[in-house]
Amino acid sequence: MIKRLLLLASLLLAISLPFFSAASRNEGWTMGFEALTDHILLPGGGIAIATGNKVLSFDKDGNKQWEWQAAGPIRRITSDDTDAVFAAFGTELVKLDGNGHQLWSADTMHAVYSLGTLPGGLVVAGYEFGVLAFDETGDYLWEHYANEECDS
Amino acid sequence: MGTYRLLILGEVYEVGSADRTDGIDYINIVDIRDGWTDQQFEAVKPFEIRAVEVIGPESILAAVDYSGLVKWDTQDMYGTDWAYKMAPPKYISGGPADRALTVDFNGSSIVLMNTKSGLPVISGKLAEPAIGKPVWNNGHYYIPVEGAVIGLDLTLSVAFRLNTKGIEAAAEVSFGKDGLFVVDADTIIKISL
Repeated sequence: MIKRLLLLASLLLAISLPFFSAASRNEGWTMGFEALTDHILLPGGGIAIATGNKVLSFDKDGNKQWEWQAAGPIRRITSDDTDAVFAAFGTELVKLDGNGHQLWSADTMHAVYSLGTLPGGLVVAGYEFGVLAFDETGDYLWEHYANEECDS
Repeated sequence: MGTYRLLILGEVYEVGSADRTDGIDYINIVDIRDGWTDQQFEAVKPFEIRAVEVIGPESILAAVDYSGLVKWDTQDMYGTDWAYKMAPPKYISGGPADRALTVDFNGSSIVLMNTKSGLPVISGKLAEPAIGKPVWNNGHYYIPVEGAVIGLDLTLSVAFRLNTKGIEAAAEVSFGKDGLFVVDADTIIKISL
């Protein structure tokens, strides 16, 4: 039998339509969706969310800033210290700028289960067989293949 | 982790199996300059790892079946700094220097650990079960429960309670630039602090 490995992942997905209901201005705000796949806090105080095929960005006051649609359900998102958002869906990883415009796309070969950013613009993605690393322009850097963890 | 070191948590499962393995199967440290394995945590194998928390550039806590709570210096492949026998907690949350909070799988029993000695400082019970990992911020542990976030001080006393009506299960607490976010499967709440 062949065993494969998978990096730890989380959460759900579906299409959703957000609604907005505010507590008092000094208390914050509340927002509801059909289902959230992932979310990440942004350096400017806002939050980006993944729901279904969409990434939505909100500022710290809960105002929607932008929306971006992928070709399929988004599995994971993350951000760096520039307000850029990275989204993984299918076998693709994209980088969106602070206005939700796609800057680049990279091939992850398999589904991505976890995402992170590191100093120097490195983006790391946990995928079916280990970890992939890309630089700030989306070029592939290296793969950590965790096959030694699988029993043959 | 520290310079050039990335902590990865891995799960091994059988292709085609509908049952995913429960828990984490391995912990590796990867050198981010080239992707090569820098270190592997062999001391806890082959037992399931239930939770992991980075508490320093070269320190992690792990909840491991049969061992309980262990501290690893991420250097010694086969050793641990200490191991405290307890039911492996569901959540481990770092805190101020030499402190970490654990929450059991029922979400009720909490233990404040001395991470230097590996011994408990104080333990207690939550009146309402935790539905997410506690987060330490500005002198308190913020713990999501159904419909609220409670704040515990270092005596594990409830210092305050924040209303998060609409948050029901599997909640995540995080701190942004000017407030607290609480997120579950279908609701986001921001509380200005």
